[in-house]
Parts: sequence; C-alpha cells; structure tokens
Amino acid sequence: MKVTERSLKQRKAKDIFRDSYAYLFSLFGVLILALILFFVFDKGHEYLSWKFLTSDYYTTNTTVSYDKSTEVGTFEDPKIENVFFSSRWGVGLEDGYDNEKNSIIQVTYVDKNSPFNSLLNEASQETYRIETNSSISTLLLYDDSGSIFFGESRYGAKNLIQDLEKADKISSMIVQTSGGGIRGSLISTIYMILLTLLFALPIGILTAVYLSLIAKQNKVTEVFRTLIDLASGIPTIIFGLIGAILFIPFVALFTHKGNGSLLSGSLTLALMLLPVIINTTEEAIKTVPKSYREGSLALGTSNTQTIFKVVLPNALPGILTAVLLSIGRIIGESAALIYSMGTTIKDHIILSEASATLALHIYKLVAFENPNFGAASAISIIILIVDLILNLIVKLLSYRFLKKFKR
Amino acid sequence: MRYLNRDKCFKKAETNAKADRIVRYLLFFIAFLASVSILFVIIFIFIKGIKPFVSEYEIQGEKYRVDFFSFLFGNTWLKGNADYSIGFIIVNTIYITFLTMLLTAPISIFTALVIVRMTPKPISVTLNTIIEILASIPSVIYGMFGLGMVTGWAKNLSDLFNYQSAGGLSTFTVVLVLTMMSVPTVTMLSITSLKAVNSNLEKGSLALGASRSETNFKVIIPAAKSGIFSGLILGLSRALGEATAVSMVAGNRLNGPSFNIFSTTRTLTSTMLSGISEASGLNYDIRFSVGITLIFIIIFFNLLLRFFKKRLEKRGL
Repeated sequence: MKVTERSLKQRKAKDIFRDSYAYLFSLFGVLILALILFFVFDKGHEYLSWKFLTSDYYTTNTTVSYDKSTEVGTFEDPKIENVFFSSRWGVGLEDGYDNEKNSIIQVTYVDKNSPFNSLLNEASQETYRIETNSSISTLLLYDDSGSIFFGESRYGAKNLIQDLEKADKISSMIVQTSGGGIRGSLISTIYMILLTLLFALPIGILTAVYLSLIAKQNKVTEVFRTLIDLASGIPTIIFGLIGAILFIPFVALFTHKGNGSLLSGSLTLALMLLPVIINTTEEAIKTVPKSYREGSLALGTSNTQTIFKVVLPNALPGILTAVLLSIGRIIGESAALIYSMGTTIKDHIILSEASATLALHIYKLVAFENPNFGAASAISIIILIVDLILNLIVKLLSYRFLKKFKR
Repeated sequence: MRYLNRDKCFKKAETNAKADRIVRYLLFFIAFLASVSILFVIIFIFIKGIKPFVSEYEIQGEKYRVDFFSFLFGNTWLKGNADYSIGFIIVNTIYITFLTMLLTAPISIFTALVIVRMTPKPISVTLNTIIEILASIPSVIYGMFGLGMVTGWAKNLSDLFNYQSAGGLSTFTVVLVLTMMSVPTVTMLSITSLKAVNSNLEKGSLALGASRSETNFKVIIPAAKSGIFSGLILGLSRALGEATAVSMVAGNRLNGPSFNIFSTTRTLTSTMLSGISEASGLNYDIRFSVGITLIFIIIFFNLLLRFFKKRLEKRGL
C-alpha cells in the first residue's frame, strides 16, 4: 500500500478519535468519585459535629425541677435570630423539629450562670445540667405569690418564654435529650473490628504460614488453595446466611439468647475475611528473601524457630496490610451482618446482643421509609475518611516494605 | 564463651525436631479448618435451602409445601401463602448483570489503558488512586448515593420518555450503581494485566510503523486480553452477588420479568434482603433457597466464561 499524505491524515484522525474516547471513558471514575463526595458532603456536613459522634441515638426523658428563687432580669440577651430569650432564667428557646418531624421546643442557648445549669433531677435527686439542643416538652411553673403556669411544647417557644419570665420556680419540667447520635454504633464498630480480628487473624496467619512455608506442594495443598480461592469469590450475603444458620445457634449455646449478636456477626465476618488475610499474608511471606530463612536454618535453628522468629517478623508490614484491609472490609460490610446480626441500633453495647455497626446504621437510616440522608451522609463522611487513612497507610507500608528488600 | 556438650546438642536437636513435627500437624489442622470451612458453608446452606421443597410448613392452620418447578419457572414472587417463585427474578438478575457488564467492560478497559499507557505519571497516579478509593467505598454508601442521586436522574430521564417511574427506583438505577461498583475491580485487574504485557510487542509494533494509538489499541489490549477477561469474570461475580446497594434501589417488584429499564425490578439478592427483619418460618427459609440459586448461577457463569476464555486462548486470539 502506498503511503500518501491523505492516508496519513486519515490515520491521524482515527488515532485522535480513538484516544479521545478512551480519555472520555476514563473520566467516569473521576466523575463518580466527585459526585459521591459532593453528595455526601452536601448533605452531611451540617450533621457532622462532636456531639453527633458522642451522643445517644435514642432520646431520653428526664423530669427536673428548680426550687431556689431567681433574681429578676440578670442575664444578657445574646440576640440570636429566631431564638426567644428569657432574661430571668438565662436560656434561649427555639421552635424546631425532632427526628420524626414533630414540633418541639429546643434549648439553643444557656448562659453559663443560668439556673438551668443547676436543676434538680427528680428521679435521682442529683443536679442536672441542661444541654443545648435538648428539648423541653411539659413545664409546670409557679411564682412566689403561688400562681401556677402550665406550659407545653405545642404552644411554641414564645409563649413558653413569656411564662418563664413571670415564674420564680420550676415545679417540674420534662427535658428530652436530642438523640440521633452515633456513639453506640461507633463503639459497636470498634468491638466488631477487634472481635473479628481476634477470631480471624491467628487462623489466617497460621494457615498462610502452613501453605507457603511448611506444606509440600502436593494435591492436598492444591485443594486447600482452590477452596480458599473459591471462598473469596462467594458473595458476602451468602456468608450472612451461614452466620444465620451456624453462628447464631453456636453463640446461643453459650449466651442462651436466640437472636443475632455482635459475637455471631464477628464470627461470620471472620470466616468471610479468612481468604483476604491468608492471601495477603502469603504475599508478604513470599517477599521475605529466601536467604533469610536459609541463613537462619544454617545457624542451627529449628524450622519452627525460623518461621516465628525470622520470617514472620520480617513479613510484619505485609501482615499489617492484611489487618488494615480487613478493617476496611469490616467497617463497610452490611449484607453479611444484616443476616448474622440484625440491624437494631443500640446505645449500650453488649457482646451477646445485636447492635448496628456504622454501615448498618446508614442502612437503617436510608433503606426504609422516610430516609434520613443527612445523618447517613455524615456517617459516610466518617467511613470515607477512615477508608482514606487506611489506604494511605497501606500504600506507605507497601512502599517501605518493597524498599527494604530491594537491592 | 559457652562450650557445647555433645549429648546436650543431640538432645536439643531431637526436641527441636519433635516441636517442628507438632507445629506442622497443628498448622495442617488449622489450614484444613480454614479451607474446608467453605465446603461446610455451602453444604449447610444447601440443606437449609432444600427444606421448603421437602418438608411441610404450617401457615394459618394449613400445611404448605413449595413446588420446586413452579419455584424455578414462575413469574410472581408470592401467590397466596406459600407459592413462591423466582423464575422472573433469575431473568432479571441475568439481564441486569448483562447490562452492567456492557457498561463496565469499555469503561474499565479504557480507564486502565489511559492509566497505564496514555498519560504522564502524575495524572496516571492520581487516576489510579481515585480508582483505589472507589474500590474501597462500602456498598451501603453506593446504595445511599444511588437512592439519593441516581434515582433522580432515572426519574428525569423516564419523564423525558413519558414513562411513569416509581420515584426512580428502576433497572436503570440498579445497572448504574452496579457499574460504579464493578468498574474499580475490573479496572484494577486490567491495569495489572496491561502492565504485564511484554514491552517487545510494543517496540515491534512501533518499529513496523504503527502509530502509538494503533499500538495501544490493536497490540497491547489484545495481548492483555486473558487478564482483562479474568477481571471481567470477577466483576461479573461481584455484580451478581452485590446485595445492599441493589436492594436499596431496585424497588422490589412482585412480578416480572421487567425488561423496561425504567420500571422497578427485583434481583436474587434484593429478594433475600427485602423484609428480612419481619421474616420468619417459610418466608425466612425460602431465602436460603434463593441463596443456593445465586450460588449456582455464579458458579455456572464462572465456568461458562472460563470455558470461553480457554477457547480464546487455544485459538490464540
């Protein structure tokens, strides 16, 4: 074929066309990540606060009272928009909505010398300090002359403040904490990580040691490897099924409770993560130079000593990578846990009872009617940040690890 | 300096050998447990999953047993009290997976090519990191994103075609969410196989006068075909088995199959998850039957594609 200027031009055009659609397709990943980040931060940033992390999910009601008399008009109005202020009591109230969209009266400002900081808890007879964002529902007030006022949240913040201004003492007041926090789910996630690693790591690492250092490369070993490969291809929801029929009854033998629990969930995850841990650890062991082993054996140590005192310590960064990868999977896992543990959100975590991890918390908030994208996005931000940190450490570790054995 | 006693040395060596043997047996036992456990998993689920077809369940005073053939070939999830069937769900699942792979394959292969060969290092490292981050995002976040954003796109698109959609819960949404989730996996594996292509091929192609672009598309990609194919098989398995995200955006239609991409749908995994917290008795056990079906479909597709891959390799294509 003769090469003409025209054919060269045609070729150039074809090249540019081909290249440009490849570039176009490669933008897909960038676009998706940008959209996910935008979505999550857009909806979640309002919710994300220290209080969100440390408060309970469920609201609690406390009946409080105050029977020391107050002085008149001693507190300065901070003048916040939409907030009604009582200068006698030093509190600012605002009309708002709770998680179920019922109208409530929120305490948005409390002066640091306010009597609201030294209320009396009727049940326990201890001083009760009102927190901002908690809400007031029913209020029974009286003044020194003995007249009684009755306030309720449905009358609105303005009326409540007017009553408060006239009153000298609080006979009883029901305070409801704001709720919606994720403290319980955070703790439950940490428990889940620790328990799962406790179950999975020893078995995973020892299996990897056996397969790569001790086993003869025969049929049996091959069968083992095939089975482990098979396990890594099985969907997580199938592991959830096995958790439901195997681990829940197993844990029930000891705890005598029939439902899913943190223990049954973590056993399920441990089984699910074994292939990841085995494969990563094997890779790590493979990177340790053979000369280390040979040198150690030549010095007269036994095979066991060589494995546990020479090979494994040198493979430690790789094993750490396995741990970090596992942590990432545990934090994000939902399908397996829905079956093997359940999706109940709890504030007080007990190992023998079910509680939601962060991923399950998101599922619970979003997957049912009236999804709460704000709180779910806030949790997603936390998960994404943790994932990012884990990824960075893995990168750093593998970089250092490779450098160490490079000559 | 310590002088060694000859007898002591022998004794030490003997105990060491004994310890080695014990450790070897112990580790063999552990490895045995770790690898054989997966067989138990499958056997247990199998036993539980065939129970609805062999034993009778009492619902509201009457005894029911699920018929195996109507279970496999029916077109309504639940008729009456116990007439479960998943025929249309299997069709839905395969249809959705097919569409997903249709989108995933070009996106992943070209992204991998761009990362490995077509951009300067800083950009390719950035792109690679983005893909890795996408791979580490949990499925429940993809599900939330799908429900909060992709359903909106689906709704607008179906409005454009004058189709009344169920708030955007649709096959379209499921396919898009699944594509987002499988692209990182397939891309990462494609990158590995593209990087492994012998550089002599590239040099030869360039020396014969092919342009850089022609070399990339007509020499490098075909040379990495086998690895890319393995990546696609893995992506397909993940798409078939993905549960949480799919169940959040599928809409769980009760009958089908639904081929219209804007109508609601139901996959095997979304069936297993929907209404799980209230399920008991037969409604709970039937999910294990759905689970076995899922395992069989995954194994079937894996074997089928592996067979195709072998054929491809044999023909030297």
